[in-house]
Amino acid sequence: MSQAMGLISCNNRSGLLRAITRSRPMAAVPFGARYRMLDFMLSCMVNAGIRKVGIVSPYNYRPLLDHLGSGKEWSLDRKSDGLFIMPGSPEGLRVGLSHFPLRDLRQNLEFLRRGVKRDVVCSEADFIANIDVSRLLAYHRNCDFDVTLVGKSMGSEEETWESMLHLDMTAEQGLVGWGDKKGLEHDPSMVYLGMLVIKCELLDEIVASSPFVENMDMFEFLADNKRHIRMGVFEHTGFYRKISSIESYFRSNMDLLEPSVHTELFNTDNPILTKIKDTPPTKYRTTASVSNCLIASGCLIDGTVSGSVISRGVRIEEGAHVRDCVIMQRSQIGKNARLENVILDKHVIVNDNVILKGDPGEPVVIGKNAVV
Amino acid sequence: MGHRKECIAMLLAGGQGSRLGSLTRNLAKPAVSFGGKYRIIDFSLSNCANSGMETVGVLTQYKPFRINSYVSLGTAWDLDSLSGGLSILPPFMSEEGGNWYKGTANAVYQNMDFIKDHDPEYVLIISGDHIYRMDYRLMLEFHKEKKADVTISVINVTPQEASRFGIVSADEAGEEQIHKFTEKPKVPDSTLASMGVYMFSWPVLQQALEEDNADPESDNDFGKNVIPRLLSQKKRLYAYKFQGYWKDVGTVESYYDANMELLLDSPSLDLFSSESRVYSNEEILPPQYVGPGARLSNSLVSNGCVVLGTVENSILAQGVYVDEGAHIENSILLENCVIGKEAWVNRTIVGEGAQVKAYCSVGIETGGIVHQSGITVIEDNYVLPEDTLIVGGTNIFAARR
Repeated sequence: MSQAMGLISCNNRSGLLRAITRSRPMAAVPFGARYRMLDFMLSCMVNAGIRKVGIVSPYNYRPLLDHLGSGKEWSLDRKSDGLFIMPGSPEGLRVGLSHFPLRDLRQNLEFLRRGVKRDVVCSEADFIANIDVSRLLAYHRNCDFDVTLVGKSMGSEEETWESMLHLDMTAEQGLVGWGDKKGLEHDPSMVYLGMLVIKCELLDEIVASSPFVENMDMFEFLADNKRHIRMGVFEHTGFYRKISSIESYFRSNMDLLEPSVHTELFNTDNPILTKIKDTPPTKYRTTASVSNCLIASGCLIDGTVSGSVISRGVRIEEGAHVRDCVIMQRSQIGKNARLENVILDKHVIVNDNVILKGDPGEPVVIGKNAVV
Repeated sequence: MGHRKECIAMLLAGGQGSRLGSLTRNLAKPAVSFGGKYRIIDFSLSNCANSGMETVGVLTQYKPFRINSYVSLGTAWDLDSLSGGLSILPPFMSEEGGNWYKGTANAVYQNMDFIKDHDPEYVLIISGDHIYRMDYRLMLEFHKEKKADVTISVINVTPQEASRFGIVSADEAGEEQIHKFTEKPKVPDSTLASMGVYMFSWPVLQQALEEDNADPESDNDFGKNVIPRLLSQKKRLYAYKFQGYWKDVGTVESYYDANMELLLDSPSLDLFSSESRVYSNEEILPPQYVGPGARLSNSLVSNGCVVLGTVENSILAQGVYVDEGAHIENSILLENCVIGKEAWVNRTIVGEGAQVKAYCSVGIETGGIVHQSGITVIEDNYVLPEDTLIVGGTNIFAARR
């Protein structure tokens, strides 16, 4: 049994993805044909043997709970430990440069104190990666750190780079500080990915003893107590995409079409787990022409599809052309419709002969249940 | 034991299915893959779930590992209920020693204590060998309405097929009472075939099984022994004429045809229909990836597949890999099999985890006498080396020590 528990914060600012996050929190946004954002970090934790995971839920938690159920698919449907859904504070929504607000933990201290583990793996649910949490935990313990941040060397070509927390590192001392990229003394090459490991005792102490915890960020506390806390950085070298806008959402979906990306992300040793829906296999009919696509099960395809990510139960009729699109669950695309650089949310109906054309940098987004 | 159930189901899943050849050399017939993501037993288990059967005993015997772990607690079919639920019933030891299940009736006889514990009014006997969609509740209603002792579900087959089944002859006046039952008759006098689905009133079943067990001449088989004996005792046996999809997939040809029928434009077994869903214990795999040079036509493809070559009129189960330049037609590729570069596979069932290496040609039509309707079968986990040529209708399997 793992000596760590997981904590995933889903109480983030919503609305970053416009129509797509209007009705659901970021953690419940569909991604990669059959997943929800949350599946990635939840699976990483479970794959490392973690069997106690707390989810701090936002106020619009319905889609999240619907997806998680009892946690069965992630082996979290258990008598000892398992899945814990915790309320987020109404004011807990992250704004600006806050990276780890402690507010949400204050009212959920019970979670840390019951079924105590040595460490807590804390993560956001707004990024896509397959992080080896077993290696992260081993590193954290071997180095005897109190806090280990997960970082990545990332170039400025990354769209989200600017807005991320940059880690100030030196060869001799390791992690010496952090901040936005302008305020750093050393040449920043690492950014904080939104996941860290902290000793359970220390996290409890921070949350329970800080008088201003309601308005405090974990990183403020760490900065104030740098001398007493041993901190390090674990580098994740694989695929990583932070989702913070429609553009990054769209592009990251498209990145999955790269064989090296999907083989790494969906490797069989550390599978990404998700809710099972018992849909039949996908049927490609005689008129279908499909290339370079990720397609979930239960689709009926008669049309032409290329460069797209297609979710479960999608129907693409004869003569329809779908190019470079992200199509979510159970959407239907009518005869001879033409779609290019389009995101269709769930249950969208595109009528026959309709033409929708977006730009790779600015895809057309059609909200849930719409008829166009 | 929870509250008393009106009806419980006993699902016979111990059959070898020897006529399926290489497909059942390593696993029991109910565990054989079907339709891409299913296994044959999914259909009976889903029928149980969709008919509100909450207590199901699954009797296993032949190579049970796969089927036991696949069925597990029945969770995938919502059969892990608080009272009753699903129980796997393998042969066991008792004070008098232990016995293998000798026949279908003997298997149920040996598990009479299980039924007694539940003390139902009716016992449904089904098998995990058939592909069908059925609401057992309607059959139970019919059974009650006729005040029957036993109801046998029957389906109309062609006269040619009739000698493969247990044939029921009902009253001429169009009544449904059965007066004759013949197992695999050479000259069938009716085309009503037993589907291997029996509804028994529990006291009748109990007595019948005890009598059958006491008869040293008996093969302990429902169709061969128990039903004819009940008829000779003038018990009330009724035929429930089932209207719907039912397929016996007992031979390589019928297995192949039933799979291929799913590729028709409107197949009689519509897996896409939202009513009475077919559940399965699926592994959570990534979406299928269709590569830039791939061509897919009239095919069913499951999760976890990677298709870089051409696939026509074929069914791909979960996790199949089709490499660049490979050409698959009229074939069924089972779980996790790998087809190498430029390989050509025609009219072939490729077993789970089998590998057809690069440049192989499998299922070559010679125009001569074809065995097995020209269907080639490659055993699970068999590795076909590069450049191998295989004539259609061949069964390919590893030698046994």
